[in-house]
Amino acid sequence: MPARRRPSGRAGRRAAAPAGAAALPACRTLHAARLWAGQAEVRDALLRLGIALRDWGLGADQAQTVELLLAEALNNVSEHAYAGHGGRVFLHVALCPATRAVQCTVCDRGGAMPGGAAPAGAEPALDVACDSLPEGGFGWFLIRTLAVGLRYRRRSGVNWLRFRVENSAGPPPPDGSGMETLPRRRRNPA
Amino acid sequence: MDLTAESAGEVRVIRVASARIDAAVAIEFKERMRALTDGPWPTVLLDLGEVEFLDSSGLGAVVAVMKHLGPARKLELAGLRPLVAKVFRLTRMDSVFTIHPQVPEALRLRPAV
Repeated sequence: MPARRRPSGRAGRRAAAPAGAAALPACRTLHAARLWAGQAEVRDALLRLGIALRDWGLGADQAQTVELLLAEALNNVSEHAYAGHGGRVFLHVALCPATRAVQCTVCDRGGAMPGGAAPAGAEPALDVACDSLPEGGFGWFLIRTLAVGLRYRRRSGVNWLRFRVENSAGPPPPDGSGMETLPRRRRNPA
Repeated sequence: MDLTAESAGEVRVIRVASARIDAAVAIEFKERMRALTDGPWPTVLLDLGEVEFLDSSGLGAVVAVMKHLGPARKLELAGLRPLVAKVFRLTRMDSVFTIHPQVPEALRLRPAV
């Protein structure tokens, strides 16, 4: 099993803050889900995720990037880790108030990544004849391009993938004055 | 996968009325496009004005449509929304396709009567 994640909220570890700065809250779960790794189920999960991110007031650019990269990661699990046969996936999305980055975690019990590492995601070559243009290979390129801090581990038959999507506005100022701009849940969860 | 098609002279205009081109519909999209582009039009204009989400599967499907048209015909795109434009830009596929901000006025699909 991957290392147990520390709970968010009161019991969570407070993010380190510069001396004199307001203490920032721990990473806040925005969305968590268990789903079956099928095409229709992945699409449904992403639609629910999109609604959750909008509820939290996340900016459109960051929210869309999170949805796109999780689509790539989940499609990868569905097509490769589970080789199209399906299987369970756990998805977790959290906001890191110290940086305003969104942390994404995907866990599955499918086959390991080739070579025990996430693909390098090299940019597919486009300087080829029209009829030779690539139709695949863009997924990991998009993840590597748009995410930071990507890590992959496999333990006891479980794949664990984590990455962060930064906020284009950058982290809030260290004096805590940016706290009011952090996403807040707009309505009670269903 | 909701596609509507009209012809305007040498241009076949196809509007995607679905919000997503993703892994769940990529194969259906390719098959429907093959059927809708089976004709003499040298240029196919794909109106993506309603598409909010396109991932690498969707991108691959659009590339496949272009390859299926063959070297003598052109696939052009119009109305790319921010996320879709971002995917085409990051993968540099915006240098492979002619991309219009909107469907040119002369080619706009007439509303159904």
